[in-house]
Amino acid sequence: MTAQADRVAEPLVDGPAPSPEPLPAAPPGRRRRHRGAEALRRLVTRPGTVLSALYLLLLVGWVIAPTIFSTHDPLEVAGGSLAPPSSTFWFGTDLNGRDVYSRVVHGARLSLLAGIAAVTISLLVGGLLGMIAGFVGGIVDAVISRAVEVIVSIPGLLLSLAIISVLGFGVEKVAVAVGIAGIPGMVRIARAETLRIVNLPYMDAATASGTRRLTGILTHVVPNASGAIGVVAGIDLGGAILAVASLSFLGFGSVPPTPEWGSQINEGRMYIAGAWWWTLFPSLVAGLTVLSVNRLSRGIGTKEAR
Amino acid sequence: MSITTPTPASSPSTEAGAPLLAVEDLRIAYRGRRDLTTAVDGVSLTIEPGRTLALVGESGSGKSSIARALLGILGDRAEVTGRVLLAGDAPDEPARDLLALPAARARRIRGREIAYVPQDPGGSLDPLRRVIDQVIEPLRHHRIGDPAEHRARALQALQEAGLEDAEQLAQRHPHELSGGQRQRVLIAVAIVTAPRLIIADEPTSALDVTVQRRILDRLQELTATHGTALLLITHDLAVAADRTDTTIALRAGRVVDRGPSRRLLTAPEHPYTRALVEAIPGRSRTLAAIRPAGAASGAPPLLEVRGAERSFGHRSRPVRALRPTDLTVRPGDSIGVAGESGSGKTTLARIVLGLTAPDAGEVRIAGREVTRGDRALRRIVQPVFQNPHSSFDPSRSVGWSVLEPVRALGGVPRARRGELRDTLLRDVGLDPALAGRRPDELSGGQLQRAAIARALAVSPQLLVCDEAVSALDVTVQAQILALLARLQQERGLALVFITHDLAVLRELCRDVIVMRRGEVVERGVTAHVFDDPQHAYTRELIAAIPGVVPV
Repeated sequence: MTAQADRVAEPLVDGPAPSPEPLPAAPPGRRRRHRGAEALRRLVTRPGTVLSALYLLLLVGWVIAPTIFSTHDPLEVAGGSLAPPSSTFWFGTDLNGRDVYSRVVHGARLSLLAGIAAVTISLLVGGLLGMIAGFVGGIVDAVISRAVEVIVSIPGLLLSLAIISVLGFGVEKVAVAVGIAGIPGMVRIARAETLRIVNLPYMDAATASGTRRLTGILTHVVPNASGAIGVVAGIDLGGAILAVASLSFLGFGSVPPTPEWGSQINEGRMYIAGAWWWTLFPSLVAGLTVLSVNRLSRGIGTKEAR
Repeated sequence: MSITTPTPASSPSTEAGAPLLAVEDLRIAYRGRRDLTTAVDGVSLTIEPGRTLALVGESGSGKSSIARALLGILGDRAEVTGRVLLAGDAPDEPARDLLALPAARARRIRGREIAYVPQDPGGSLDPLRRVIDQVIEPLRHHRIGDPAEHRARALQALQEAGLEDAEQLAQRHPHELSGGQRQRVLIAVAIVTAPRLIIADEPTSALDVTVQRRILDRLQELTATHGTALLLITHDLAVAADRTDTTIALRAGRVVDRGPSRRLLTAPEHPYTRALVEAIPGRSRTLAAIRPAGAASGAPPLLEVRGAERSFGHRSRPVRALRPTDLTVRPGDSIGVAGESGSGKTTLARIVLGLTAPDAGEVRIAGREVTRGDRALRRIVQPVFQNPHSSFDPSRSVGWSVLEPVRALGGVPRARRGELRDTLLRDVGLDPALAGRRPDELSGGQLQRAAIARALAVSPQLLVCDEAVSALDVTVQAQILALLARLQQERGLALVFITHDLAVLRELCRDVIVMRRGEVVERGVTAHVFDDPQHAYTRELIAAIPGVVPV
C-alpha cells in the first residue's frame, strides 16, 4: 500500500539529480473524506453488526425513556395473574399480574447501567495498573503481575460473590464486585499494549526529541493503547451485564419489586413449567444484549486492526 | 520439447530453444471498493530451461503481482487475463495454460513444477514445526516420490541449499536459526521437489550483504547444475545484472525495457532504466558533487564516545553487543558506520543518541560528560530511524510529530511554531499542506523526509541516521541521500550514518568505521578503505556490493 503511494507521490526523476524541490501533490485526501462513508459501508456489508447496533440502540431508548416504550406501569397490577403473551401483554404477565414486557423495559436501566459501571471500574483501575506495570517494569511490574495471576486463578463470579459478602447486598455493590473481578483482565491487556508501544520506534523518536517519560506515556501510549483496551472493555461489557444479572438472579442485587433482568428471571424460574414467558423473555433480552455487545465490539475491533 | 499454442506468433521468444514458461499478455487488476486498480498491464515474457530472468522495478511496478499470478496466489480481489503457458512435462505433452486449467489441477502442476522462495524468511516458516518437517511438506503434500525417501531427500535439499550441518539443523525450530539459515531452509523447501522453475521474490533483501551474496551464489549454482529456470524479482538492478541472463524492467505494470542484464546496467538506454541505474548507491555522481570536500578536523569535538560498551541478556550469559569503542565526531564530519546485523552498530547509535546507557565508558558532548536523562544532549544530537512508518505515532498528525522536539525542549514561542513547521517541511522538500495528514497517508519517502524535518526542528549539530534509507525504494533512497548531503552542507551538520550497505557510505561519508561482532575492525578515510581495505572482513563487505564491475 505504502509502496504504491510511493510511486504516486515520488515519480522517478529522469535527470541525474534527485530533486530536492517540493514534491508534486501528495496522494489526494480522498481517504480522509470518505472515512465515515467507508465505516458505514463496512457495517452494511455485515448485517449481524447492523442488527446488533439497532438492538443496542433500542436498549438505549429503554434506558433513557422507558415510559415511551413500555405499555404498562412496571410496578402496578395490570391484568390477571400469569396471563400468557397476547396483544395486550406482549411478554405475558407475572404472578402478581404485572406486565413482563414493561418490567423488562424498565429493568434495562438497572441492568445495563450496573454493567457499564462495572466495566468502568475495571477499565480505570485495571488500565492504570496495567500501564504502570508495563512502563515502570521491574519489581512494580512483578508485584502487579503476580497479584493479577493470583486473582485470575479464582473464577470471576466466585470472586464477585466473595466481594459482595464483604460489601453487602444491592445493585451498586454488585456492580462494584463485578468491576473488581474484571480488573485483572484489564491489567493484562493494558500492560501488554504498553509494553508493545513503549518498544516501538516512535517512542524512541519521542525520547530522542527530548520528551519526558510521563509526557511520552500521556501523548503516545494512552491514545495508541486505547483502541485495543476499548475493544476489550466492550467485550467485557457483555460479560459484566451477564454477571450482574447472574448475581441478581442469586438474590444479591435489586430488591423486589424494582425491575431488573436477573431478579426477574429468578422470580419466574419457579413457574417455568406453566408460565414459561415470565423467565424466557427476560432471558432472551439479556442474552441478545450480551451477543450484540460482543458482536459490535468485535466489529469495531477488526476495524481497529486494519 | 515442443510447445503448441493456438497463436504461436505472439510468443515473443528470442532465444533458441522452446520456452519453459511463456507468459502472454498478462493483465492483473485488483478490485477496489468501486474501481479497478491495474497492477500489470499486458506483460509478456518467456523463460527457457536453465536460464535466469530478472524482473526489476520499484515498489508498485507490478513485479510481485506477476510472481503471484504465476504461483496462483493472487487472491480473490484480483482479476487476471492472459495466458501462463508452462511447457508439458513429457516431450510430446502440450503446454498447459495455468490460468485456464481448473484450480485444483493448476495447483497440482504448480506444486510439482514451480517453486517459490519468498522475501521474508521470518514470516514464511511455521514457528511450531521443525525444519525437517517443513522441508518434507511439499513432497508429502504433492505425493512426490517414495515416502520412505522423503527424509533423505529433504536432508539433501538442505545440504544443497548450503546448510552444512543439515542433519543437526533439521531438528531445530525456525527461531533457533539465523536469518540467513532460515532463507536457506526456504530455498531447500523450494528445491526439494526438483521443480523446473524457481520464482524468488526479493529473496535476500532482508539479509546482510555477505549472506545475501552467498544465498544468491547458491541459487545460481542450483539453477546451473539442475537446469532449473529462475525468475528473480528484485528492485536492485545491480543484483539483476550480477545474477541473471535477461532483465525486464517494469514500471506501472508495463514492460519499459528488456535485454541482456549486463547491458541494462552498463549501457542503459531507456530513461527509466537509466534512472534505476543512477539510483544504485555509488553510481551517480550527484552525491559526490554535493559532499563537502575538506575535513574540519581542527574544531574541538562535538561528541566523544570513550570506551563505551554494552551487554544484553542475563548476567550469567551476557551478549556483548558492543565492546569498548571510541567515536569522535567534529562539527561538519560525515562518519559512516558499516556492519551487518549483530555488529553493534545500532547499539553504538543508541548510546550516541542517549537511548541506551553504556555499561562502561562515557559520552561527552562539547567536552561535558552526559548523564542519563540529560536533555541538553537532545538539542545537539537528533536521530533519523530506519522505518519511517513506525517512527511516527499513528494517532498524531505528521505536523504534530515534526514539532515534537520543539514542544519538548521549548525555545520557540507557541505562535511561531506553525511557521517553523512549514519552513522545516519545505526545507526537506515536502508540501507544508502535508502537516495535517496522518502518517499512514504518506509514502515511505515522504515520511522519511518528515522524520528528517523533525530531527532538524531544534537545529541540532549532529544527525544520527540508523539505516535511514534501508527501508526505501532505490530511487527514493537516492533522493533521501541527496537531501541529507544537501542539508549537511547547508547547515554544517555532522552526520553519523549507520548502514549495512557499504555502497551507500562510499559517496556520503568522508570517514568510515567497519564493525563486526561489537568491535571496530577498520576505520579510516572512506576512499582509502575502499581502495585498500586492510581487514579481511572489510574486503568481504566490499566484494559483496552487487553490480561492481571488476576493474
